[in-house]
Amino acid sequence: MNANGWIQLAFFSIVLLALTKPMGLYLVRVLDVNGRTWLDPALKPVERLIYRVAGIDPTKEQDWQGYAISVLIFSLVTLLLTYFILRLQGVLPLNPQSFSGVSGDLAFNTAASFTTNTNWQNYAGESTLSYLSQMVGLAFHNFISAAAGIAVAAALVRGIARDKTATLGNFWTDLTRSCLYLLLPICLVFAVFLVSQGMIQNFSTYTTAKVVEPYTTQVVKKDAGGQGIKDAQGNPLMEDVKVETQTIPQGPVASQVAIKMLGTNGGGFFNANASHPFENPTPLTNFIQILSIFLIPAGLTYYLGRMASNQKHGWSVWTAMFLLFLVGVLVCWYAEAHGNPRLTALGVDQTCGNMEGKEVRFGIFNSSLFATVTTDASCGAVNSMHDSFTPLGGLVPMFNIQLGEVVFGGVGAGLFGMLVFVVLAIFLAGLMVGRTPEYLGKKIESFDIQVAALAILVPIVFLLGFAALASTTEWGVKALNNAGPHGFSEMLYAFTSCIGNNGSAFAGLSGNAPWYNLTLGLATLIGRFLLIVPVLALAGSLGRKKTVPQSAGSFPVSGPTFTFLLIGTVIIVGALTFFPALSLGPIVEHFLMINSSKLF
Amino acid sequence: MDIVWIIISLIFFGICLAYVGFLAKEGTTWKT
Repeated sequence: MNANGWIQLAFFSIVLLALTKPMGLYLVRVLDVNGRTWLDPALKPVERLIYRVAGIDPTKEQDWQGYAISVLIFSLVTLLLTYFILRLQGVLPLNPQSFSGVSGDLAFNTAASFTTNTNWQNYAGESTLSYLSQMVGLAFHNFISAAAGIAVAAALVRGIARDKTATLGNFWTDLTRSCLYLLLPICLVFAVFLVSQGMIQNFSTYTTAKVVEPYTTQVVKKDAGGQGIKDAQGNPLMEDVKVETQTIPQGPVASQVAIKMLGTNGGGFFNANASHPFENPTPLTNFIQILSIFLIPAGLTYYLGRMASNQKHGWSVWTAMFLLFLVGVLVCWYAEAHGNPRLTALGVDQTCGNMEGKEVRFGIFNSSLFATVTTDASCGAVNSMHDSFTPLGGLVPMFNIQLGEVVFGGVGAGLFGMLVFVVLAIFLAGLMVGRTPEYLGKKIESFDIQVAALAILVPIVFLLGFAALASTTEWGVKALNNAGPHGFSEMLYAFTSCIGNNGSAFAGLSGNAPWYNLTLGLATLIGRFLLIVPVLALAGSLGRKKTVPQSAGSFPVSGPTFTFLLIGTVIIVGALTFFPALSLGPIVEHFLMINSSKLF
Repeated sequence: MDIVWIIISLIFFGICLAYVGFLAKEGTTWKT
C-alpha cells in the first residue's frame, strides 16, 4: 500500500465527488420530458421522430403496472432479437472471420445476460462473435439495458417525490431520452477519446504477426473433417505444433468499450476484457474507465436529492455508498498488496504483492480499485483476473455483488436497490423507537415492506439455490478447474455475478455447457426482473400516498445517524445471508492458505 | 432446439407479468 496508490485513491474520490452534482443536474433535465438540454437543437427533432414512428405519446404517463409491463415486453422482444442475431450470425454481414452461428444454449445465455445489463460471457468475443453480433446484438443492449435501469430508478424517485399520484412517468420517454441525451452523446465523446489513446475501431479482418520467440506446443490431432482423433482408450490424440505466428483480433472496440463502462455493462470485446491492451491501452484510459462506471450512479444520488427536495438526503445516500466503497477497496488493496504467503514459501518474489492474474501495466492498486468499483457497480468489466486474487482480496468483489450492488451500483439499478434498503432501514428505525416509519413524508406501511422484502429476498433465494444445485450435481462440479474451497468460490461467484447482474467471473469456471448456460441465463433474468417488478410496485405504492409535513418526530433521512443506519442495514442483510456460504469458500481458503501449505 | 429457448424466455416473462398482477392485487388488498 504505497503513496502512489493513496494519491490515486484520493484523486479518484475527489473527481467523483466533483462530477456528482453536474451529472445529477443534467439527469434532472434528461429525466424530465419537458427538460431542456443544450443538445435540444440537434436532438429534439430526432426525439420527436422516434415518438412519431413508435406511436408514443410522451405526455401520457403510466401507472406502475403499465410501466412494469412496458419494461418486460420491451426486454422480451429485445432478448429474442439478440437471440436470433447470434443464432444467424453465420449468414449475416460484418463477419470477416466467418464465424458460424452461436449454439442455442449459448445464444440464450448471452441474450439474457445482455438484456439484463449483466454481460456474463460464456464465450470469448474475439473467437465467437461477428462484428454485427458485437454491435447490433450486444452494444445495442448495453445502451438500452442501461437506459431501462435509469428509467426504473427515475420511476421510483418520482414515486417518492410526488404527492398522491397514480402515475410514475412514461417508460418509453424515459428510455428514449436516457439513450438520446445522456448515453449516446457521452459515449460518442468517450469513444473518440479512447481512440486517441490507441484503442482500435475498425472492421478489418484479423491480422497475423510473427512471434518473437517461436515455440512448440501440443494440440489435438484432427481428421480431414476437422474432428479430433482419439486413440484406442478414447483419449485425444495429440501432436506437436510449432507456433510461429500470432493472430491479432481487430474490430470496433472503442465504441463498445465506451458504453460498456458508462452503462455499467462490462462485457468485453475481447476475452481478456480491460486487461487487453486494445481494450485498455493506457493508464489514463484505465482511470477514465473506472471513473465512468461510477459517473451516472453517483449523479443519480444527486438527482434523488433534487427531486425529493432534500439535497442532504441525496448526499447522505452518496456518503453511505462512498464509505462502503472505501472499505471495500482498502481491504482488497491490503490483501493483494500483502501477497500470497504460499507463493513466498515457493520462492516467488512477493514484494510487489500478489501479481498473479494481474496486468503488469496496472499493478496492485489499479487492479484492486478496478475490481472493487466494477463489483460495487453492476459493471463486471475486469482489468485483472479475480480468480487469481488472494482469498480475502477475492472475497471483496464477491461480497460487493452480494450486497446487492448498491454501492453506487449499476446505472439506475444501484439507486433503486439502495432505496429499497433505505425503506428497510427506516422501517427498522421505526421499530426501534416505536414510531410509524416515515420516509420523506410518506408513511411506510405493510405493503411497502412486503415488496421491499420481496425485492431483497427473492433473488437471494435463487442465488443460493442455484449455487447449491450446481454444488451437488455432476454438471455443476465438472465445470470447475479448481478443487476445494476455491472451486466452490468459482461456482458461488458465478451465480452471485449473474443474479447480481454483474457479469464478472472467477475465471476458473467453464460455464459454456447447456446446464450452466440455462441456469446462469435464468439467474440473470431473475436478478433483474424479479427485482424491478417489486421496486416498481413500491414506487406505485409510495406515489399514491399523501406527503405529510415532516415534524420533529420524523426520522431524519440525512446526517451521520441515517448514513450509518443505512450502511448497517446493507451490511447486516448481506452478512447474515451470505456469511455461511462465504465461510465455505474464500474464508476457509484464507485460513488454509495461512495455516497450512494448501494452495488452490 | 430454438423453440425450447424461446419457450423458456416466454415462460419467464409470463411469470413476471403474473408477478405484476399479483402485486397489483396485493397492493389493492392492503389499501383496503
